[in-house]
Amino acid sequence: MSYNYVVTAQKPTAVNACVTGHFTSAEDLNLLIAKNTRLEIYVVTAEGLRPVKEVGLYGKIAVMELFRPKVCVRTHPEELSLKQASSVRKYRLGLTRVGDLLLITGAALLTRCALNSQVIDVQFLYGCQAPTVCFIYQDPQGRHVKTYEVSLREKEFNKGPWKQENVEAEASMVIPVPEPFGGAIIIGQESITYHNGDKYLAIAPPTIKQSTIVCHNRVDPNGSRYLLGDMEGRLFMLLLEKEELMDGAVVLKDLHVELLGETSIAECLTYLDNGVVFVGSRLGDSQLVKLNVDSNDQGSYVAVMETFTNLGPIVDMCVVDLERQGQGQLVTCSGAFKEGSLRIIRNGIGIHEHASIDLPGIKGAVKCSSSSSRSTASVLELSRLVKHTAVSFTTHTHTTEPYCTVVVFTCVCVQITSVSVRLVTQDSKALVSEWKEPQGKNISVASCNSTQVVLAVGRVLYYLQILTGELKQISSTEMEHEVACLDITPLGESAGESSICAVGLWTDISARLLKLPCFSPLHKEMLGGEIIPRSILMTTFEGSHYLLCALGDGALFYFGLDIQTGVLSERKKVTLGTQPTVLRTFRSLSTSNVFACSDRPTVIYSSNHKLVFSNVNLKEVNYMCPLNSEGYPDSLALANNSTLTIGTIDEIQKLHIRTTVAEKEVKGAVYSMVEFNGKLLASINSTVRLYEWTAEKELRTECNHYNNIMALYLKTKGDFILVGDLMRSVLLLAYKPMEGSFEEIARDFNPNWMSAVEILDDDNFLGAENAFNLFVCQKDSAATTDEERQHLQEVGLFHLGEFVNVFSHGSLVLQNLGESSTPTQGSVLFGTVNGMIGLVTSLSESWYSLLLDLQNRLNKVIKSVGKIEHSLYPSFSLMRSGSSLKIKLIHSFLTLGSEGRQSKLFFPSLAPHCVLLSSEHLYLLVSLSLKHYICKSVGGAKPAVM
Amino acid sequence: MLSFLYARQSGLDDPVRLRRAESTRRVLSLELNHNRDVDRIHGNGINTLDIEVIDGRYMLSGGSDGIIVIYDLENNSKKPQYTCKAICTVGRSSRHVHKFSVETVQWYPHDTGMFVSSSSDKTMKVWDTETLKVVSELLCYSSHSALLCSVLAVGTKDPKVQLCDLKSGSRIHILQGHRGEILSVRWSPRYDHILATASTDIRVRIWDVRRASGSLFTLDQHNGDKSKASSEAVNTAHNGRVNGLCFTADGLHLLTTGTDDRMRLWNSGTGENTLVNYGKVVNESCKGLKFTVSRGCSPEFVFVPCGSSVAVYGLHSGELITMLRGHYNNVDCCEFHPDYQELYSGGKDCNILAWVPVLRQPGIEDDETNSKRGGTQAAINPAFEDAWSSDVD
Repeated sequence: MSYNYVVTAQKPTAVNACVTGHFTSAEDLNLLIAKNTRLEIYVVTAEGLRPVKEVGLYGKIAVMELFRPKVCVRTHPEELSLKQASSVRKYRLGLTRVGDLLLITGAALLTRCALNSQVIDVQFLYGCQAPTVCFIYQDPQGRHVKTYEVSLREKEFNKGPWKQENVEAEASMVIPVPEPFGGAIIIGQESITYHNGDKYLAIAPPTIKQSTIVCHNRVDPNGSRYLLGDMEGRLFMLLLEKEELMDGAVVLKDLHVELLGETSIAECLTYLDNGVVFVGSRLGDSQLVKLNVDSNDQGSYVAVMETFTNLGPIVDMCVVDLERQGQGQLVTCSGAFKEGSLRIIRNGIGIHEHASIDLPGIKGAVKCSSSSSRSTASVLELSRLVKHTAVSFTTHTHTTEPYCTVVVFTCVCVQITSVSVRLVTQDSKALVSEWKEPQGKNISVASCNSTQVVLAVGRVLYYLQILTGELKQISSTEMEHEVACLDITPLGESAGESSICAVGLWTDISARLLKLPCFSPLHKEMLGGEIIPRSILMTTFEGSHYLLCALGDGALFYFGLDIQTGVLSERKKVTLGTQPTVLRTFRSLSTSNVFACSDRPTVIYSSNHKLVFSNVNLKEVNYMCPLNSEGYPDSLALANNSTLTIGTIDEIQKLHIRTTVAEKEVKGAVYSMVEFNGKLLASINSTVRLYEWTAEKELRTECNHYNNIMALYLKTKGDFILVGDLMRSVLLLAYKPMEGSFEEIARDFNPNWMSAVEILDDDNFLGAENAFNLFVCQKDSAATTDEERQHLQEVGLFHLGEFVNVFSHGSLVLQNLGESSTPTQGSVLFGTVNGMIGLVTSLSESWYSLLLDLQNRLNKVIKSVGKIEHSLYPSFSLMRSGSSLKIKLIHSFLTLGSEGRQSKLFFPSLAPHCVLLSSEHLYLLVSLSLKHYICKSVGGAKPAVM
Repeated sequence: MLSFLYARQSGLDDPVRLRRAESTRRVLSLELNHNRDVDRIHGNGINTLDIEVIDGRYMLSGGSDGIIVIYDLENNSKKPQYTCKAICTVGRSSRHVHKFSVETVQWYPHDTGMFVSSSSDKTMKVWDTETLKVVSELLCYSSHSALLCSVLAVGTKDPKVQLCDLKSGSRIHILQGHRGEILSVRWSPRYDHILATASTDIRVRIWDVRRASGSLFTLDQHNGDKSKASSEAVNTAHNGRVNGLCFTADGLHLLTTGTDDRMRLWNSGTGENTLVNYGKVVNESCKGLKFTVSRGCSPEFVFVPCGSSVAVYGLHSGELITMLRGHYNNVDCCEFHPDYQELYSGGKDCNILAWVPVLRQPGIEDDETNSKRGGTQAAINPAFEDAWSSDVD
């Protein structure tokens, strides 16, 4: 039996729907973005969009509309209504509102209106006495517009005030026009029509004929301007010209359409404020654009302000190891039409190199945290400063080897060399104050922050305070063993001053926490082993404090740290590299990160209160310090033995290359081609055909297999071929090299309409089908009868809610990164239409049952958004038996945070039958999900890394 | 096809669209396929067919000779050509066999372990599939039955419709209203308490079985317009005996056939005649007519036995799309396989014919003959020589 675990590496990025309104509070202007099964809530601020919350739903968001129930209009912000689309959607779902009346349409409307036809679009009209809906429907004669009044008492639809038969054949959208005009605009392929019962006005501007208009948004509350977006990514403005009649009534005079410019291909548009429009896209990157009053040189009124990466639709992808570091990179074919692009996605963090200087013999790097007055320093000055100090260090090496800690604050810096601590003014480089060890012994290690210095001379620790123009020794103590490393990074709200000193010792290999200034011991942690700690660091991630301690062999211990008592907890160990590791903190976008310099440089950050270790695309880094200047904003200076490099942290690398399709003419459509034992295997319509190369380098048909309806997908392993059929699930073929023929081994007889297939191992096969499900089929080699052997048994089912286009073997994670390897085997990545990347990996049975049990229990505890039960979500369109694995919930569990976990899971009243998870289990669970989160950083990881 | 695949892949279309479009194409290309045969077991006309919905694998047939056969529709031959094997038969040698013609066979909807049959020998039997033994038997006059969950509706020579409980085997309810022999009964696939019955009294009644009183309404071909109908023809569905009933897959509509050679489409919620004109649908059957509709296509189709062929109509357009000709004698029943868009029909010529969609294979046939000739013509492989270009761009 095979058990598999499905995780999301990258959440869907394609935008299905968006709305603007006051949602989180009456004052906030919110933008709500629906991304398939997720809903993201932003606040619109002067600086841009600020994320507020992201919620996952057990369903797909089909339509989204803001509405405000009448009863709570006074105080409550608008509430959101979401419509879940079932996986089999017969009719287009509509959702429209007027006042407090919300209309959800679908098949029900058809029954009510007794129509044998398809409803294309439906909207409530403004300015009608009774609530009135206007809709376009199609019957065999063509498309028509009808209105119906909603009788609230009888809960019925009655004939409405007007109708218009035989509108344009491609009429696709109704836009209700508010007062004073009233009525509706009907958008077609070639024309735009206005109707209100009395008046009828049609225009057919040539500009809109090029493409199809797919979305619209009202700009002004009075309905005089509308934004329209088409399939080519062009943005139009529709203007309603008004005319005042003699009796004072305002009527529509004319319609105008103006081309504003080009954006991404819009799926939805929403006007935010001050000429800013959010363009939500499914086929390319979503954008925040500004509409300018004047056109630019190209005649465009549109200026892109911000771009939101979208990987979808991922049509194809493959895992490659470009830098030969044993770490995969994913190349995806993303986007469609003009948005088509190849994108490289890498686990971990890419450093984009801006400048590098060859400087042999760099011993350290300097932390140049410029004060505000110096932040405008030019590129030249800063690089010179770095160079200068770097060079000055190398020139001083013969006498005083500095310990590379210089703190710049209010124009004074502290230089710590092997013989002394010096306070120097920054401008004149004049020495203000100097401290030496009384016996003149050499300083072995030191650490300082902006107000404090702690240094070690052999076994003795000294604590100095930096006062104005003076270094003052406060206290000293003698440790049991020689000090190997030190840290006094201020944590919490102590404003630049630390009350704790972290120390790593030789000989007994321990990490200790001491109280400052008295050096009284708070906690002692034996690290074990024989490798001495080389770097110790206290840091805060997402409000939790941690102590990190790196050893000489590249191993890293990390602990939770209580800064009041100095007590360490939750000891964990990971191996980052093989060389002595140096830890440095840096901040990016107001989150703190730690850079571990070693032969395998790693960035450590926290995501959902878990530490995540992410690789960097550099060979070796010995020292690192953050750099922030005008020339190199938010940069890092990285040094190895010979070079100093300045770089920035990358987002997803994006190559704007249009995808091209190579063509070769065959009789029939070639749906798939793979290399197979030096031959070419192709699926042509219903045939799977193997071509061999003749001596003349021509292709010759070697054998065929005909028993398919349409062979869309092929995957091979050894002599086995897995065929994904259009509608007959999967088929396993074996190639007989001796006979030169195919033999049908087994078939899944379920009528699955396939979208992607993959071979997991010799016996297990993974498939994705039309109704957004994943399933695993198993070959039963031990079966006794021929008939049983011919059947692939469906052993696992999983409702993903995403349309999978491609499977690819490979992993983005380095193996054995964690101390204990996760209890999984193999890894298959998948890419979906909505830009989601996920991972399928095999579990042992005991793990499966543990996780399943956990999932079931969590089901009872975690409340779903919108009261849609988890159990409803993975319901298959077909009734099938088998063990289904749906571990979606576990991730919501892990995001609860450790206290949340404790209380939610172990609180008896909430979960009376809870499993008692040992901490070991929990840890493994976390490390299992680490796979997930490591991958998460892949997608540019805006929330986590950037 | 490629454009549909591309639209599905890039998320432009709902994946269901491709499925519907391809299903429709397949239904339109149904033909009598030499790759598919069904074992010929019956020695007399075949009255009824039913394919189970759980795996879509087994098909029941009932014949005028009283025999019931179960076929395996699955292709285990590893080749495109195969014969649907009869895996078990309730033949004359069985002591449980119906004495006279089997009128209806139906699988239990939730489990292939059980099926029911009704016969003109005045019995209705519930069978265990494993043992092919009768679990329970009901005595009633020449019956047409419809099964839903554990409630069985039985229409008989008697104008009363009986509801039987399968668990207890007892009659639980009688629906009174018809004045003639009941020729067909069907449950709504949408609401499990709605039942439609057709009778020789040229009326079709819709019942809510939860109500003790009479029927919900009677279908009226003139939609209440009395001027068109003579007084005795009020509330009639046809101008002849109504011998066939079929709900559409969504249960929103009901099709009826009558010996007036008409087929009518009704709104099953309101009872309104949608007035779709199917033209003349020849209907000589004096017994119940088993016809069927497609599922998962857009637009949907109706398959009606019509003389010795099966007529395919557009459900809502009423257009006659094609006549499937192949039987040597009158066709009595047909059954649609929704998973693979295949149609099985049974007739008085004792044959069950399988109508299978034509595969999309321009050139494949040629190629097959080529390879049979020994592959020596590989240099002019048809895969390369033609100018057939795909609509990739």
